[in-house]
Amino acid sequence: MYGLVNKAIEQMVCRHHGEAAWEEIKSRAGVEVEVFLSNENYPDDMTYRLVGAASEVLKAPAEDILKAFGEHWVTYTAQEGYGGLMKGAGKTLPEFFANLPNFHTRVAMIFPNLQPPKFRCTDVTDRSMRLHYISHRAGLSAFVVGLIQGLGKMFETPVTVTQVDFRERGAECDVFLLEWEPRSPA
Amino acid sequence: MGTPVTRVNPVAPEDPRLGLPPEVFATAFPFHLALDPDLRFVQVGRSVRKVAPEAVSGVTFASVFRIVRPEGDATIHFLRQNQSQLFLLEHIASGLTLRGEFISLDSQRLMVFLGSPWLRSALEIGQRGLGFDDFAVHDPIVDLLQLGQAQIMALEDSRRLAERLIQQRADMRRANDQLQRQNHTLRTTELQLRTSEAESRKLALVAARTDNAVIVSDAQGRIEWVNEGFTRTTGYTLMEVAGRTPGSILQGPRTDPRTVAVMREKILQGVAFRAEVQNYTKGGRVYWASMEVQPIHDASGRLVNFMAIESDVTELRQNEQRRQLQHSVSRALAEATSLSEGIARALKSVTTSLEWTLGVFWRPDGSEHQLRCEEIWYEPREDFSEFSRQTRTRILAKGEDLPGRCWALGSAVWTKEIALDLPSPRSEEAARHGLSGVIAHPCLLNGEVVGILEFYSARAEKPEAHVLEGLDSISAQLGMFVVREAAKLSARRAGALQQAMFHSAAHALTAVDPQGIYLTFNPAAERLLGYSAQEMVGHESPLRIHDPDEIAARAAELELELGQPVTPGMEALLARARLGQEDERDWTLVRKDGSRVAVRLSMAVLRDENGQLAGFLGSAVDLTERRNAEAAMREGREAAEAANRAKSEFLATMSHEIRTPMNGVIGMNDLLLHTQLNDRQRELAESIGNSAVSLLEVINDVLDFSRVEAGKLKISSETFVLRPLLDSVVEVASMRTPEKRLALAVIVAPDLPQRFCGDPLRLRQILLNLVGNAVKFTDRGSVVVRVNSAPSEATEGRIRIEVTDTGPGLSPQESRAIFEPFMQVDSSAARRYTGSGLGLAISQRLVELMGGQIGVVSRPGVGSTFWFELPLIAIPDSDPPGIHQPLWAAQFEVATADATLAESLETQFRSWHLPVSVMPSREALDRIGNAPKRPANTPCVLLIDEELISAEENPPVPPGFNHRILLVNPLSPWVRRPAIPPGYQQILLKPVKQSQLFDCLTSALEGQSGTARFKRAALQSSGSPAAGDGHVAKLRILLVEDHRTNRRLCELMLESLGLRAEVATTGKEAVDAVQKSRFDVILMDCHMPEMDGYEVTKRIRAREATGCTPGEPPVYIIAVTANALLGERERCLDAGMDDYLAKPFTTKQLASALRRRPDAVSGNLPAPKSASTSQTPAFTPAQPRQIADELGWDDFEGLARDFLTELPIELGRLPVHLAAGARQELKRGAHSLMGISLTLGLTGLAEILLQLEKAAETSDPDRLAHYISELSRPAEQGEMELREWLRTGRATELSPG
Repeated sequence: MYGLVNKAIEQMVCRHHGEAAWEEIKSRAGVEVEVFLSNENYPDDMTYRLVGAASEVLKAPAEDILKAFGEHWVTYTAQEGYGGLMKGAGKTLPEFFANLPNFHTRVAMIFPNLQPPKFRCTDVTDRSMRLHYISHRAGLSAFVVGLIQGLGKMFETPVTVTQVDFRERGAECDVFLLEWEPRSPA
Repeated sequence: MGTPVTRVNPVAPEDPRLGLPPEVFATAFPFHLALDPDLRFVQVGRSVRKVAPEAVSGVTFASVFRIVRPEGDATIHFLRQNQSQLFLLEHIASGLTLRGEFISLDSQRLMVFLGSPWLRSALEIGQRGLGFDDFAVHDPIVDLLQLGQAQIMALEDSRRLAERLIQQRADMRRANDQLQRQNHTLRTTELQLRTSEAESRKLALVAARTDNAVIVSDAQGRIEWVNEGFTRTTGYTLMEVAGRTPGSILQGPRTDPRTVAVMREKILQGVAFRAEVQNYTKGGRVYWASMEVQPIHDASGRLVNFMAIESDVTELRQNEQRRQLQHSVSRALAEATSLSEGIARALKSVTTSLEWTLGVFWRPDGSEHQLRCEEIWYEPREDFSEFSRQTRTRILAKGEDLPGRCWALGSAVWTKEIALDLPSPRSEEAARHGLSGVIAHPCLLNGEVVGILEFYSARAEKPEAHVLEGLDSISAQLGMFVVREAAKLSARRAGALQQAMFHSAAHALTAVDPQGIYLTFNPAAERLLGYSAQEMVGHESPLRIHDPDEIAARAAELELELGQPVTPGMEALLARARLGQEDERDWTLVRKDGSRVAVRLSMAVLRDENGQLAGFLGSAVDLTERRNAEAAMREGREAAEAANRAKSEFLATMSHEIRTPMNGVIGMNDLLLHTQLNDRQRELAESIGNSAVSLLEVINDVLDFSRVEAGKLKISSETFVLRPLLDSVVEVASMRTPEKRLALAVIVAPDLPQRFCGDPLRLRQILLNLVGNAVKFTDRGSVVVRVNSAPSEATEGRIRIEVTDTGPGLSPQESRAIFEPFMQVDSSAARRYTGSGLGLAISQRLVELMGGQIGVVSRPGVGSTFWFELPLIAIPDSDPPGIHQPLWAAQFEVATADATLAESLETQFRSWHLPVSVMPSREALDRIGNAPKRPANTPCVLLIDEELISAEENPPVPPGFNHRILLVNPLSPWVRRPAIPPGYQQILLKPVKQSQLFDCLTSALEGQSGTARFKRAALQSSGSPAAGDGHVAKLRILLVEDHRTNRRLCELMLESLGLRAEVATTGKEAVDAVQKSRFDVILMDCHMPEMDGYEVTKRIRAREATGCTPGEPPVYIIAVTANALLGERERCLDAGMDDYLAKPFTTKQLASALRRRPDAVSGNLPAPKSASTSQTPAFTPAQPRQIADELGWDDFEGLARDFLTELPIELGRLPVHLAAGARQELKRGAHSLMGISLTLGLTGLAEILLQLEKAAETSDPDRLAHYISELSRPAEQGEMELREWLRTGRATELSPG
């Protein structure tokens, strides 16, 4: 997993729960990494353990935590490094999603060792679309939901996310239905 | 096999179907520009329009964009020319840079720019009003931006990492500091804890384990705790005493109640105190306790406990009492003026000290059967007069009453109820006075009872051990006192007797006190000297009657004798007597009337009964008459001796005068024999020669004899090896008459040392005479020389040499006269044998001069044994006898019928600790073939006497031996033949010399050629000039040496070996000398100007090769060089030299090189010594010391001083050679100086000279100049040290011992 993801977990926990909580989580997760490198590939297992430990320490379901992480990732973490690029990727939520596959393609191109997920947009309308999330990793759909909601906040477009297909239930991939209110042109 | 190649049709490079439709072009190149030939915009891409809205058709390119690169004006020509170049265009209005290329579409007359913006960060996209949509998807600029962004993030991560690290390190350091502080605090606390714990433990341990008794009681004195020491001392355990007071347990009748009262008071006061008191143990033993009691208070100052520490001081107390008793008795005896007074005072001391009542001293009378009361003492306040009367009148036999019993037993006897145990009127009288306890104690001196002490006491207690010990010592003192006083009495009686003897003695007897003042002067002394005893005794010392000059001379003599200062006064008379040494000597005394008298005075020391010096006794005898008689005798003897000496000197002179012309006669006759002579003339001339030689021998004998008689012959003392000397004597004798085939042998006792100190030349002379005589007079049989330690104790430290022959023998009359000068055995023998008849007389004189004895034992018709014994000092062998490994492992058998030969070989093998067996006959030899096989790996050596097998052409080859050696006579055909018998390895010449036997065995076992060994043996035994063992025969030597000092040194060394050399100082002289004369050995210096030693050698060898020297063996050349360089030896051998002698060498090494001569190829040459060592001292005395020892100090010192005089001149030549570019001369100069420098111990100088020599031919002049400049310091330092060494060495050499 991309170090940026773990970093997001760290930042979010530290910001809302303090460093002691983070150290406790790391300790429970058996993680001894001091500083996560954004572009480094870390074992997926580490992320899962961190999420699991955070769930225990913060006493919240893992799903909620993943969601919160996703949102935080977009609103804070990615802004630090990718703010410019994210802004360049579109002025609106649909524009952004339209560019998202290219974005991840470029990530895969630059860091061949990372295995970023693939995104595909279908059934795009001015107020909805289906986002296909294709990843070899399981159990992160809540994280994706959080990401999407974060993006909605970023583009000031409240978005409703409904997972319509579940990989864990045999679907080819996770599919999310995104719905938003069209924004009046500024 | 490779992968199958799929053939495809090549795509045409420019397929016309690829012409892009305008909308596709616009999407693919959103930042394109199309310009007409005037460079006005014709078309602008959609994204360009977003950033540069002013770029519309018709507007000039230059008004909107500036060409940044390549440099040039915006002309169509410039753009066309740079079509393949990367252009950077700056949008003038916004500063945005576009990157891309211009393409000329000539057919459309358009110039098209294809490119995209160059952005430095993703943020710029938004700032320029652009989005990802404005870029073609394939445009890598977005990828680049993303990559850049990733790098920025990575950098950010690194920064965080670094910060985190710094922070963590700071945290760790703080934590570490804190830990250290905590650690320090912890350690300090722990240390304090430990110290206090250890202190507590120690105290507890001390209290528990101390030998002292420790008691802890409560404030009322009731015991709470006692330690083991308490239990040990008192026998009570804590259980038994807890809760009780110490006083109630420990005190008893003998405890002093006053002390107890004081102690009680102190306890009531609660204060510390010390006390000594007699306590009782549980078992009732009384002991003295010394105690220290301390009150213990609690924190509030309340008295809670007492702690008492007690130690048992009984022994101390008793010792003190005993000492006091001994002291008082000693004083009583010392102050007593008579026997009875002493005894009375001693009795009083003991009785009062020990609180007894009465004491008696009994003494055995002279008959030793009865005991009588000598003295009695009691307190005067009580009336013991009746008891005293009964005691004094009582005479006791052994075993009677208590004293008699004590006498019989020899030890103390005690009773507590005398009246019951030994009833008598005396004991009843004692009991009446309340005395019951009695002890009788013997006074012993050397185990003998000399008195009995008897004491009475009112106490019926056995005296304690220390009291008995005290009595032991007192009674011993008293015993000595009694005996001494008795002796004094008898001495006084004896004195009277001595006095009478003293007065009537015929000798002058005098005695002086330790200060030398006369104590007595008897009437004989008065008569001798004319002084009266009254004048002398108490006033004068013997100095009054002695000659002061004689006294002074004697004092000086004594100083030397005793090695301590002797003042020329009384000490000269007394010093030796004082040391307990006998001192009797002649003196001249001066009488009162001034006349002188010669006396023999003996002095003896006088000692008192304690062995202390009391004075000296002198006893003098008048020598006047004896002196007169001696003088008359001496005069007569001197006259006779003078006449004899004159006769001997005359003889010596005459003999010398005769010998000189005789040498002339022999020499001239020798020359005559070398001329052309006919047979008759030759016969006559040879006869002249033989007669002259015989005459010369006679003259030599006469000369020797007269020298001895004239006292001119001196016996030297030097270390020599005995065996080679014996061997050479026998060898010489054997060669005189080889045709007699006598069995000659030397048999030396195996346990005899090898080396002795004595005069080897004179010993050889005696032996040559005795062995020569034996060989001369013995026609058949044997001549054996035997050497043993002298047999009797009286002659211990001497060796005895016997020469036994099987000759005609001597009659008793002849035996008696045989040592007389000019004695010939009989007239017929005198005709048969020539000789002076002086040989035995000379031998006798020589043996006597050496402090020995000579004699003969003989039986006519059987043979004679001439023997002599000499006090030769054996020199311990520094090394154990070295026998080669091969010899240890081997077995040896000797086959000979000659008992003498067998014995001599057996003895020799035994002295080497080698096993040998002898087969005495031919039959025994033949049996060998049938003997069982010997172990294959044991080398077996057989030595066969030629006499056993002489009839055969080739001697038999007995099987079962690895090595066979034939023992042959000098006349044996095998000596003349060039080959040795088949199956044999060696031939050994009889008589067998020790060294030859050893060499022969060693080389046989090492598998060396027997011919070479045989040659050597033959050469040596035929008297050919070879340096033999122990002595060096005459050799013709040529010494080739250009350096003066080296030359002189070598000459001196040769002289010390009894050799002389002809000298050549250059190579050319050497070559000339060899052409003129025949030499046995050349000592060749290798480095000489003009022609060096290698060249000289080559020329000599070339001459020998041309046959110029027919029949002569090649001359033996020994290289003598200071060149210690590697390979020098090989160089010398290559040049044709036979051996190599590295300078510096010693006389011993030179001799051994000369001795190696016949075996030059053995390769057993000394390894060249490395001269190069760092930190070499300027002067090293080892080498010069050895040479000085060998040459004698005078010669060595002269040599060294000559060299030191010439050294500056020689050193001065070196820079001259260098300046002249004469490298060879420089090298030679350095070389020859190095050799002599090493010899004289100037090692520092020699080292630099060696470097100079090595570098002389090859190095640059600066380096050589450096070496030369380096020479002066070690030269000066070395010279200084050598001179100092010569000075101190000379002093050491001259000092005695």
